[in-house]
Amino acid sequence: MDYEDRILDHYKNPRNYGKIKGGISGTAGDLLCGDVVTIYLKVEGNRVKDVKFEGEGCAISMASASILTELIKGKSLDFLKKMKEKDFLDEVKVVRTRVSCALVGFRAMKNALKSLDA
Amino acid sequence: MPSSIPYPMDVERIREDFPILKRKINGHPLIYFDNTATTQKPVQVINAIKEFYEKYNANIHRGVHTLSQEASELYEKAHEKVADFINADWREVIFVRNTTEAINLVANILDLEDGEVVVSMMEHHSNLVPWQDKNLKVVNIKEDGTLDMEDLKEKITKKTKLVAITHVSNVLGTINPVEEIGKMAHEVGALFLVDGAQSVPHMPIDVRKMDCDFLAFSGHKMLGPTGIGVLYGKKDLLEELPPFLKGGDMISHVWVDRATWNELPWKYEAGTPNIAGGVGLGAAVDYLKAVGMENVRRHEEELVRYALDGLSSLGVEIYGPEERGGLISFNLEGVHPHDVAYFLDKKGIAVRSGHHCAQPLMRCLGIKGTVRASFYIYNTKWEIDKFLDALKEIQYGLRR
Repeated sequence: MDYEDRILDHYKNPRNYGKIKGGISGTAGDLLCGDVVTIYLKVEGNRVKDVKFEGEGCAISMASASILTELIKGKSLDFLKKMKEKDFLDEVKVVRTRVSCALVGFRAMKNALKSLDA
Repeated sequence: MPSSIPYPMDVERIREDFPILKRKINGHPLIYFDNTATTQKPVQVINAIKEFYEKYNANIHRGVHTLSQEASELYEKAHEKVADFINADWREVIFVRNTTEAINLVANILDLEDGEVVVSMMEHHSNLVPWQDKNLKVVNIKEDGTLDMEDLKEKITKKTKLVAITHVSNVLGTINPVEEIGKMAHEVGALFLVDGAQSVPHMPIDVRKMDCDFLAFSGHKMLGPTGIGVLYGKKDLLEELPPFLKGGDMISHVWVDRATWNELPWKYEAGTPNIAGGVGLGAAVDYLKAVGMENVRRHEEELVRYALDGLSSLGVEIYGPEERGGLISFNLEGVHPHDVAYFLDKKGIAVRSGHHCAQPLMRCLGIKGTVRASFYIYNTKWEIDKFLDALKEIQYGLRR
């Protein structure tokens, strides 16, 4: 699928949108453009049993967060921890000028993981 | 360019001087609406810089050899051209890097302790942050995006040492009544600095009429190269004030423990300056003079009126007053400004999105950012039509 269509599709029909109670969560934002995303994770036995996200911002930040939730659902915590910014950017393939938008959800996920270590 | 162009000006003829306008962006002809950020360069400017390096390159001043003399003359001539452009004496024209550096220069040479600096809520960061270590008073703006003159009257007091105000807002397009503000500043014995980054490139400017003590502007926003800007300052003042950067060329006599300063403008141009940039700016000023600044202003007024009509019929939120410079900030309901800019780029249309280096103003307007389209001498109504068509597509395509 052409990535433009994929971004638009995820922007207009975000997957896994909403909240999970009783799990862990992390938030990240780009203060300058006002993008903000919260990622909720329900972890069972070292696996992401469920994931949801909430937020507001530009199409790329919202679509990227939606794509991220599909990517990590069912995956091991180890997979999430090892995933680098570059790995995720290879997946969403945005132009250089929009990289910070694409990473808001990713950073929220990493912040959620930090709460596990705390 | 011919020596003078009648209005309406021959925009198609002008466009031929700008090689970059032949570029295609994402398969579409480039429509460049980001002129507030920087303007494109005509071949006359590009060639002046090329010719300088090919024929005249040498360091200026003190050189006895022919090339050094020729380079010095070209560089001084550029000061004269700029001076003539704003009705100043050439010794009052200091070449700096850009508007930011010009304002910082003033912030560094004035003694503003025990006094207040008055700025407005619509300042670019470059005319706000340099004053933040002083006693700062910020003048409010009104709902329509104009300066609150009542508030200004209250904030300019006997304690005021400097009033530093933008001539044209880079976000709202507001044209501030600088002559009136200058009178108010001088009545209380304060100095008056005008940020001319968005006015000097777009309308006739006369520093004597404006009666400002300082005027700061950038070369790259008026067809010139990057890395060259101007600080105009009244001669009497500049002669009295201390130097900013110290070192080569700004001195007259040097002993191991002291020095005396060179005459203006060299007192404020320490070290080897951007000689080719100065020559390029001179060529840019020649070009604008040939077009005629009244023509530039009228052309932009016409484009802005046309674009405002089109945007209003699309039902977008427009910021700033009716009477404005050649730029429009707006938002499409429910669509992030970055998305608008991104999808316009897909159509070859370059606009800016975000806070436009005016975060306090964004906060004051209660928004995170805007989309900004800004025009110049080479833009056309045809381009605005394409821009409006693309916005309609975005409204339809990105609505959730």
